[in-house]
Amino acid sequence: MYAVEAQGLGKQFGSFSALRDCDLALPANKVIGLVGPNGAGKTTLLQLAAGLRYPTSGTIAVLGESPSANDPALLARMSFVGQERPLYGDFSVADNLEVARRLNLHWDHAYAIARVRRFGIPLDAKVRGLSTGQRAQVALAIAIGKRPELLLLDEPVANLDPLARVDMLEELMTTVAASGPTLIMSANALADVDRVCEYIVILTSGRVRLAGEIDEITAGHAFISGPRAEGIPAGWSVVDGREADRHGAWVLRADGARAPIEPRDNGTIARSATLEEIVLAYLRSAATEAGS
Amino acid sequence: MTWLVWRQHRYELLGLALGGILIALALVFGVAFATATREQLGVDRCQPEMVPVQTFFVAVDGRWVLVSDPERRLEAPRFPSNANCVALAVEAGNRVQPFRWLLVALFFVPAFTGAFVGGPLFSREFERGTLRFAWAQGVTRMRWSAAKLGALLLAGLLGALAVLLVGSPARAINGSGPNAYANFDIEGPAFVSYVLFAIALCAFVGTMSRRIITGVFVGLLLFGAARLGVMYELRPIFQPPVTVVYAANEVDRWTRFTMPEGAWDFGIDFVDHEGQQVSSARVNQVLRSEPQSPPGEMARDDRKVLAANDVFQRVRYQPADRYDLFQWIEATIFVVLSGVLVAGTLLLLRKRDA
Repeated sequence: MYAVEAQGLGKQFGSFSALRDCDLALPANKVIGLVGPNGAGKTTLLQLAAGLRYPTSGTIAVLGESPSANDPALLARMSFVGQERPLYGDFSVADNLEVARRLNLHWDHAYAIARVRRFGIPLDAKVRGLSTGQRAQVALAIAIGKRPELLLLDEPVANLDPLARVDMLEELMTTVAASGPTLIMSANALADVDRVCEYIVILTSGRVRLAGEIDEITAGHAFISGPRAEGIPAGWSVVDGREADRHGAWVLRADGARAPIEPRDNGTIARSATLEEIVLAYLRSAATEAGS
Repeated sequence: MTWLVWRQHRYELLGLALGGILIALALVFGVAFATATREQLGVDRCQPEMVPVQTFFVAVDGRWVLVSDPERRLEAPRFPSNANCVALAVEAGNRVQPFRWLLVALFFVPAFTGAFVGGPLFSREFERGTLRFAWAQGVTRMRWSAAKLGALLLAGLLGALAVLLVGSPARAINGSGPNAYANFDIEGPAFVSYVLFAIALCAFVGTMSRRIITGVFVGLLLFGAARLGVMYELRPIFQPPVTVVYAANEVDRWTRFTMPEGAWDFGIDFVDHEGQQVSSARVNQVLRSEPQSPPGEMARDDRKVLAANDVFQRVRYQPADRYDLFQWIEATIFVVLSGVLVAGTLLLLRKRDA
């Protein structure tokens, strides 16, 4: 069973396509990163998975069920935290936890309380008065307190200072390692994803550009730089390249099985591409496509 | 859900229920106070007193002379005047003035209750994004929205029922007027239905627009439009009004129609023999075109003149004994509308994106 499976999934907002023709099969029990620039459709995809929005075309299944059915059994199996970390601002932290306790089928109250306490967040404080980081921790405590099989987090580290960012990611990883839910998180900073994810989905302008295990992706791509006259090695195609004068640098994708790149003696560098190079290459090529 | 609804809306819920009970208590007190005041001032026992006229004619040497006698040194004729009774009634009215204002306020209570309680109910959740929190928990949208709306409607119903139990406070506080329908809007089942309708309508508009300000103010405007529409367009014809038209041979200047007690009088207009309404322009034209009586004779009888031209006065009214029926008809209209709006709200929340 896939954590999230989409076929021809599309979402229109008026005449704007936030997501189109999206085919995805995201494996369970992985840490999955959604990467893409602002407006790429990451939030829309997560909200469709969480059942907060309904698709305009295609289908989406979460843990094998349709989130659109608004079935409490499915709701109990997944957690979603939006980018703005919605909570009842005029309730105390304790009251927000109480809401979750009363509305959820499974709920680990002791865990949620302990987690909030661990971050030094006073339980009787109004949520409105919390810092962004504290608010994010409370929202996350509630999401994890549900003991979900699937955790959907929209930009969990957005607006956090660099230190809080690292803390948050480490916390997340510890949690995932301990209780093992599938984690799907979006990020517009690649570094956050690179550090923790095993699987990545690259989205631009509402389309899936690339999806796969990070190991397989890096294995299937290469970086070369050298004279343009040399041409692209056989069995590879260009994802994106920078060419200046007679030289250039390209990120290549293996066509089918990875063909070895013959070493050349004319100053050409050929090596595996880093994830960052690969992601940037896909983002750039999408931007060029859109621009042309 | 009960806990959340209470935690989130306790002030509205208490405000609705207690507000209704407080208004009801104030009205009960007002009725008692008004009754006591009228009793104390003797408003209802008042007899017109015989008042000497201050200006009168006296015969002096066979001629009538107008005399003004403010100091009343002359033996002036006396006449019965109810000025003393009017003064007492006015005095009684002044003493219960605060309760009269309360009655005026009662007219607007459903509208503002609906706007400020119903308007933000769901729109605030949209604006603050809190429904993305609630809907990410293990509660279905339907249960969540039904619990919230249901609780507020129930509290509104309790508050309005408290006011309903007071009966007809306006009659006691304002003194009895001639029209049984005068206080239609602030008492009875209709009043209860307005409260429910206002909450349901504003909640619907707020959900539709996702904006608090729209829920409150557009809701208020639509409520006003619906209320006035029913009040002026439908209520008068809940049942065909009783219509009185005198046949041509019955009409003369001495014909008088006596409006039954407590009737809701729609006034006088003109029709032809088929019952088609005749415009006032046509009436004036007939009256202008027919010759006046010669000088020295009794003035012509306008009603005969009109009757001769196929124009008859018509009187229409709703008798007092239809009051309860009309209350229930109006209440049914607004309760049904509320039901439709509640269903619409729940459906919108079920079907729309968060």
